[in-house]
Amino acid sequence: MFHRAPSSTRVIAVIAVAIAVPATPGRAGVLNPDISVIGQPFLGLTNDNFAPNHDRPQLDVGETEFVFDAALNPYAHGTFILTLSREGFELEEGFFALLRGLPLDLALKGGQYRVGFGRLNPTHPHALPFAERFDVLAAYLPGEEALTETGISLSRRVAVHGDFSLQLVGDWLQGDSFRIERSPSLDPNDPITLGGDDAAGETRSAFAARLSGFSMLGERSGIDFGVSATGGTNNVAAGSQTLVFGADAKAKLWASSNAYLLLQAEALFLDREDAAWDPVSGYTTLHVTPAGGYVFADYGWATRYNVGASYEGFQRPTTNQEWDQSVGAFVGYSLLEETTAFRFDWRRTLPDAGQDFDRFTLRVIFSMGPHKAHQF
Amino acid sequence: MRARIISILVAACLGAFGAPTAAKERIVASISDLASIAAAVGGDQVEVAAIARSNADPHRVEVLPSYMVRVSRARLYLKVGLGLDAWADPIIDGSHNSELLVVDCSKGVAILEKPTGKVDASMGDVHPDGNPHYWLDPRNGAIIARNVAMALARVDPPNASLYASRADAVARRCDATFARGSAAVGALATRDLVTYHRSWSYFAAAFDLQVVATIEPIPGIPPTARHLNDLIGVIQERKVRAALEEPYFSEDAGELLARQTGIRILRIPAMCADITADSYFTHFEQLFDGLASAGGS
Repeated sequence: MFHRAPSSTRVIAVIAVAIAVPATPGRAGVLNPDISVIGQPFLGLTNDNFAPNHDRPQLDVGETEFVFDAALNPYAHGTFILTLSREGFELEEGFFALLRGLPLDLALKGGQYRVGFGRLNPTHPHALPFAERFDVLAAYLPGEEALTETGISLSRRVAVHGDFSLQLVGDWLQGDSFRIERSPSLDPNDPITLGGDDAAGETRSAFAARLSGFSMLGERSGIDFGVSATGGTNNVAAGSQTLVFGADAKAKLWASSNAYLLLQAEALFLDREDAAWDPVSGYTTLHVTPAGGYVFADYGWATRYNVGASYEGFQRPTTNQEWDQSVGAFVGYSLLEETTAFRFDWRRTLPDAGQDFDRFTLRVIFSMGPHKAHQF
Repeated sequence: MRARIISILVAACLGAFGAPTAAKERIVASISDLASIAAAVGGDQVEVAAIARSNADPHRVEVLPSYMVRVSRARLYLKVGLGLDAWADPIIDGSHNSELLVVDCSKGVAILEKPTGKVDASMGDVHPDGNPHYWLDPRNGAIIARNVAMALARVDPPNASLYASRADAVARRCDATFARGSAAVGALATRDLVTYHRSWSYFAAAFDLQVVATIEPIPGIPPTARHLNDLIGVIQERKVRAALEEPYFSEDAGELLARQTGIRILRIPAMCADITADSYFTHFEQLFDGLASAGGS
């Protein structure tokens, strides 16, 4: 009698085999991918009464990332990023990138990847100067924590004048992460009540696009600004759509060879139709159009220390559109860059309705494997 | 009549725009030393640029889109190799330049400090392929020049002999610099030296200097109080007069050693100041002068 192993077990087995199989002598490091493992355990404490562990310290192993990365040939690069959490193994990203050889100096990326919407969404959490991401991204962007989709991305960077360049990115996405599960109404004829799923098995393509500009400020400092948009169908049967627009800016200003000030801000606008069922007219939609964003400043020095402050404010994506705000401070210390980094956050949330609460997070990031260069 | 008008128009156009000039080969190098040598080899036929600033840490360069734009227009990219400029790979990839020829300038260099056995991060920022700061031996400058000349010959065959002869001229200048350095170091009261990082191994080996200790206990790791205390003992015992320290490292440790032992801290970059053809050689002159002023010739 045979049975299929659970998917997480199978993934572990594949990784174990990939690591254990000896490479042909002399070709190790040539054909094998670079392998990195990044651990991100944390200790959290909050007095938010809605949190299951309020007023009790919570220790969690967090999300562990396994990164496999290699050139496929002189033209293309491949990357796989698997995450391991309490929910098991998950393929977070798996894509190839055709970097050269295409007409008009275009670059092509295909597979599953974090969509390049704004500045924070494509950034993996361990690369952030703080321990916890801002809530507005999870509230507005499709997907659980980040907008990760299967799709094809075409991009082109255009030199405009001197060091100033523009980058245009267009993505054609499968659109599955836009789907929102609708709660059944009280009407016995509601398709959900009748066992339907609002055609959840059907897919509708989605899109993402981004235009960004970068310019040097002096020898080493730089400023990047961009606008992004993404849209897709969140309920196929109702034909309801989600659109998100964003504008962002980042400036990294070097004060000396080892000290910099990083300023980053992002504004998001959600335009979403939430599907509903009406006993008389059938499918209807409720329109929500909240807005919000964040801003933070981070000062880093001596390549090991950083300290910063943040503000976030956004309307909840509900019909009432309550305005939630938070202020925070963070501090970080690295033993040697991010091979071992400690990040401590404090954030005070000021909900429109309800009681203010605090969150403290101490996250340890330890990274094994090749250290990659930082991208602006 | 018509032919005459055409010939007048052609002559007018030539007069207005001048004789056609050959486009320069654009070269981008990871560091200024490679760019400087490329400027000497390429002469008027090339236009050079460098990514890492001479007073910044070449191990840690942030990948900026502007660098990708610069490389997208280039014909040659000169890499240090040996893991020092791994940051160049995302810049090269991001340039989407399918015409780019990437040259590893370490080719042909006798590599120092290549680790044997297992290498891991507990050893600090160790380069598994060996010490990558090879440009600090002027004799390796000649090898770099020949690597650049060969690459230029591939992208611009009509001028191949010109590049080869210029590389020979660079090699002769490297020999002269080596001779001048050997003489300068020979006049020092001591050949013992302290360095902050292992950047100066090739320089020390070339001129028979003895690096008796590094301020970093292991590569990439800032000094501890205990290590500095040990270092004070070594400096006093060996009567070391000079320490080479790159400007991007913290001054604190060097200042403490100077106060406690009287050692002269020479804050000199491990890379030349700019990308002009003379800069590579001027850097060595600064180093010789610095050692002479500290070492008591």
